[in-house]
Amino acid sequence: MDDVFKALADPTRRELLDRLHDQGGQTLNQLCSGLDVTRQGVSKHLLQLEQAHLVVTLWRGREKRHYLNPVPIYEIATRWINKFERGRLDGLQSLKNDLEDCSDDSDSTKSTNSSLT
Amino acid sequence: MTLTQQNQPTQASLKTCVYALHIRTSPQKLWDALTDNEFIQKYWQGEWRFESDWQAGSDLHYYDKEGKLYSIGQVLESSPPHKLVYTWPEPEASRVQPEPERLSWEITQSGPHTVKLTLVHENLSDEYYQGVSEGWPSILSSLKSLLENGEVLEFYPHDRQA
Repeated sequence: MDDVFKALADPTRRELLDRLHDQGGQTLNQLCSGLDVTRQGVSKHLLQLEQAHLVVTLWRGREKRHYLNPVPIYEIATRWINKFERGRLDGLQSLKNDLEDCSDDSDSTKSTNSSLT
Repeated sequence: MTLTQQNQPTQASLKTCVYALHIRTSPQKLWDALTDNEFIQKYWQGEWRFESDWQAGSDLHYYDKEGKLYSIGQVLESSPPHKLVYTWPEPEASRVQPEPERLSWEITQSGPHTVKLTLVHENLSDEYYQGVSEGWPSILSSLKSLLENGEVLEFYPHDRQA
């Protein structure tokens, strides 16, 4: 679990996870575009994410594709959030989003909103 | 072109989800957990029932929680205790898709008493992507807990909707 927290404690690595959440299966080249980090740097960040099992890679022909693995994050969430709290937290998050009227909500938050209405 | 054809997902628009986790067990025990019809039902919390002899080329029957036959898939690859691949088609009446959903399970020894399980769920249409991608972590955690502690994890009400 230490690996997961260390991997998450960096804005570039979180950005990479956000991008993989939006679109799974991206190559190193795709992930480099628009990032203010060298290719070598991105590669190093991805390796750290992979070692923490937050990213899993698959070879498709000669392409190495990267996917976000949500299992470690799920395990963190279930460790400290019990099942009775989850519904209330979803409700609070939904309220926060409605009040702030975020246009860049994550997909999962949107689905939470719709499931409550 | 009819409306149905326009809405039909193309191969390129289909998505892939990938999950990986380490479980304190042996490859054989994990393989048994993936291919024992009774055991599968435990970590699926009775949401689905699978029925197959898990041999390559065999049919795989999916029953929903009411016990109704949902669809029939096929076991594409069965190499105990390392790799299992099968399809999980949507019922034909509801949707036409170029390729049925495909699940590939890979089991590798990752430590003296630990096994890495990787699941690749391919050919997901947008319609099912959200629910499936949110649903698997809880099912896989339930499988892990059952193998390591003999306990079934309860699903969150939220997961059940997914």
